[in-house]
Amino acid sequence: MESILEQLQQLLRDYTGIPDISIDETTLLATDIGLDSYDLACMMGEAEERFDIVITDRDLLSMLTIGDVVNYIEAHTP
Amino acid sequence: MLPSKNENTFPALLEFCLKQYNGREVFRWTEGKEDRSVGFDRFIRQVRALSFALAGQCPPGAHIALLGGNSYEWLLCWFAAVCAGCVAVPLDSTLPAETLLPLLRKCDAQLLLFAPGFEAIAEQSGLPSRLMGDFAARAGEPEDSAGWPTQAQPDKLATIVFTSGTSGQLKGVMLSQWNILSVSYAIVGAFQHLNGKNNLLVLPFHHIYGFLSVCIGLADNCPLFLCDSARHIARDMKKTHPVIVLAVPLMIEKIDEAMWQNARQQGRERQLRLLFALSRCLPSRKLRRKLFAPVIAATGGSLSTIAASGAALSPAIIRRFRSMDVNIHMSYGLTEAAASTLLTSLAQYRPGSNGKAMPYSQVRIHAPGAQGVGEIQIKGDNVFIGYYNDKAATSEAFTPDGWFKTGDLGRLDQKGHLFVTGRMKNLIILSNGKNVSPEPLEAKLMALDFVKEALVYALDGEIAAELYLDPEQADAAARLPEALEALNRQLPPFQRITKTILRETEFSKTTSQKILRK
Repeated sequence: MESILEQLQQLLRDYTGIPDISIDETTLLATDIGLDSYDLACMMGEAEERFDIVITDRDLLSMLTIGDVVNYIEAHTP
Repeated sequence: MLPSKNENTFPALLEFCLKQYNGREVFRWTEGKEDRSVGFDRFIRQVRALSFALAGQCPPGAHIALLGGNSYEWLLCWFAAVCAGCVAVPLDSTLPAETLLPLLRKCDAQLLLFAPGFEAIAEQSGLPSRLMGDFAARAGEPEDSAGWPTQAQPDKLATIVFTSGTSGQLKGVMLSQWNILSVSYAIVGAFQHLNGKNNLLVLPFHHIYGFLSVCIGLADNCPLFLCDSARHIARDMKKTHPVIVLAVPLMIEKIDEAMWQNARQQGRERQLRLLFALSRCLPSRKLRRKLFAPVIAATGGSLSTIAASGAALSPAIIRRFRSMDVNIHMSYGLTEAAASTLLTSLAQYRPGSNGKAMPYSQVRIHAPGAQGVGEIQIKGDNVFIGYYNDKAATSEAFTPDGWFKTGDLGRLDQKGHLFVTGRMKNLIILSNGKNVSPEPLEAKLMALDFVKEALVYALDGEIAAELYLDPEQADAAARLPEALEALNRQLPPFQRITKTILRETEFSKTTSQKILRK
């Protein structure tokens, strides 16, 4: 089974259209990948469906790195 | 029949809707996995019941703060507050607690209605507070009744909307019922024939432009689909097939970007370019729409009108959307002018222009230079009452003859089309419509012991910090990324610094030793 990190990597590939995008837990969402707040919201909308969780806008504010997203999904996955 | 100046208050608009649109659906939204909807009659009955409940609890003019994302309950609370003769104070729910708590004090809130997730802030505020859902539930299934708790007054304070000032302090913009409704009716008049067509509400209601889309839908009987977050825009677009959307330029840029990205992934970029070239030769709107049907499908397939405000949008994107039979109306306005003063009309479209003054408003250019460029000043029914508890700022904002000084630079052509050319203030206007004052960010950067000088500005749509680091601290550059990450964690996303530029030398300065801005 794919890890959360691998699934996020696939989501990012689909969203950004960059096939060879590479991430780890320290990757900064805005600075390293270039996601602005709109991109991040759209991506998290897709993550909600993929992981069957609800991510509130307020929780989204605290996510700066891929690691933050992974931790959040781990803590909220049923 | 559309509402007019006779419907110059919200109770009057609701009575108009009840008479004209009774039996029709007005709001639809998704709650969890369930779709919900409400008709005009039920919505108005609920607002009426809640306004009486609120009037029994709060004196007229009481300030009711609203804290939460877009929801049906949020709208019930806003309308109930205003129809009860109170003042609605919508707050940006994405702001950190350290900003929200002082704002609650600053606006003299007497009651806080909040969405789930804000319990801690409600408690810390020390204010009487209730969950919006619990408050809205008081309406229950109200029986048909008539009247309103107070005689609504069109020109009295109805809402306080906070906006960024140049100093970085959030200022409370006081708007009356007619300030908001005059703009709403003017936009409805400019769009024409929207009656009955789906409108997707994607902008946050605490933003006056987001709230305008609600008023426009009510006034023109457009079923309104509540999108609760930017996370769900793509889902809701496909689900609700909107015909009209009020958006910020960033959203339109993203749709455009996605279109090109899809074409690239499918190896059809050249074909798409050819399609756009071909469409210019096709006068038939129907044919153009058919040609681009697969592209428009990503927005639900029915989109025909976008009203955009908040920042500039590339004329090339506007042209591309027009080729697809999707008309983008650019508008210009500030919160102080209830979001819109000008709107581009289809018949009088001028590339690069922000439109002509709408009914109820006037625009002039103060002290135009050789190219006709000067400060844009506005007067009219949409212009705000003043800044809350800030006489000095209010007085500074108006000319002696009563025109609002926007702080923006522009020129008018002979036919009255406005072209915005820049800003007199340092405020950064992002394409998502958010305003960012650079000074507070610069102060935070300067507080780092290894930063000697800092200048913050917009670069390629992002917030960039240009820094001159202390040359006596050899590890300054190495310490920067960690310090910046810590700083960004304290900031709301739209204020985060995502680009840094390191200088080898100090900045050029004015004679008073202020950094010369670009």
